[in-house]
Amino acid sequence: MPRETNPNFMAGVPELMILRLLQQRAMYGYELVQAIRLQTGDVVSLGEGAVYTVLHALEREAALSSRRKTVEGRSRIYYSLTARGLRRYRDLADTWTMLAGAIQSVIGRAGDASAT
Amino acid sequence: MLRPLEDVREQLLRAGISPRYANRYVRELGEHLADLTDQALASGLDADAAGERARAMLGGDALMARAVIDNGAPRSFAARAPWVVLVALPALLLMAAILANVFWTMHLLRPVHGLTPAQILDGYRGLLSVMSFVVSYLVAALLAVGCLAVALRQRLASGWLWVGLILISLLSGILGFHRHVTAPYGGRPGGPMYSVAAIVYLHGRASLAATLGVALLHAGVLFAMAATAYRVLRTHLIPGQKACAAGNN
Repeated sequence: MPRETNPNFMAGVPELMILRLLQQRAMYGYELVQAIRLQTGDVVSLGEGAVYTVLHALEREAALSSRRKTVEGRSRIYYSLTARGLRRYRDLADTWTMLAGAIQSVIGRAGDASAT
Repeated sequence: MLRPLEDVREQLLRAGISPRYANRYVRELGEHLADLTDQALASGLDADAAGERARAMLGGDALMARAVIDNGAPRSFAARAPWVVLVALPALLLMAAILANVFWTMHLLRPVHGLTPAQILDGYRGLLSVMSFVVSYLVAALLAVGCLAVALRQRLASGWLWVGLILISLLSGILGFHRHVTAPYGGRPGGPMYSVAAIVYLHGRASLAATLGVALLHAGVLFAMAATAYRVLRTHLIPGQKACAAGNN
């Protein structure tokens, strides 16, 4: 059973993961939601319908481009990363890595203190 | 009963989201729903259970619509400035058409300047009459249809539409470029006359009452036709309106 994602920790996370996945290859909405679920071991699950609001917002900011493509008889909108999207991904990834490291160092110290 | 996701589209359109964007969002949700249904079917559920599960996974209609509205989705120009699209623009276009007709008619009349009406070829006179008819009736009717189409497609509130339709009807009824050929009367010779209103002559004299009566009749007929078309189309084309209409009766 997947754990419910705490929304307080999720600000900016869907965007970061979507940009990362689209850096690898073009994907459509359903595929992105499944990929996030699979790659995070069900820890992070994006709302099925909510993914499109993030995708469309990124597209409006020219971080993504989209095109309709028919694959195996199904027509879908595939999203891919633009140069601006790649820059944005790098910025977000740097910020996230720095933040995660800082939080981890605090958690680590707190853990050491409680052990002594 | 609305089709699946149709309620999302309705909520988006009523919130002023551009129809193009609303349609795209709903189409993508529909494709996503189909994928979720396939996934549920593959897990061994029957068609009904798979459909229900997919629908539950996708999320509630109100929640999905709210997410789009709060996320800064593009609003249509008509929703942001309905008075421009439904009132100012059609009025300007109608005036432009009337002016174009004036200049074009003058241009066409140049070769026959100085001739009496009897000397002007019937076909030529017919052409001028058709142009007057087109501008006075057809352009106004087309503009009214355009306003109806925009208002219905974008689920706009009807206030500005009524203002626009009244203005178009009045402009079309009162203004216009009319070419008359008056008959000789009371010792005065007949001849071609031009006016910006459909002036009615009674016993050889222009009658203000009759002229206003004809203009208002013209405006009233156009407005009544447009208003009836709007009410009928609104009931039949917009989901949920039929039930409202039935409930009111």
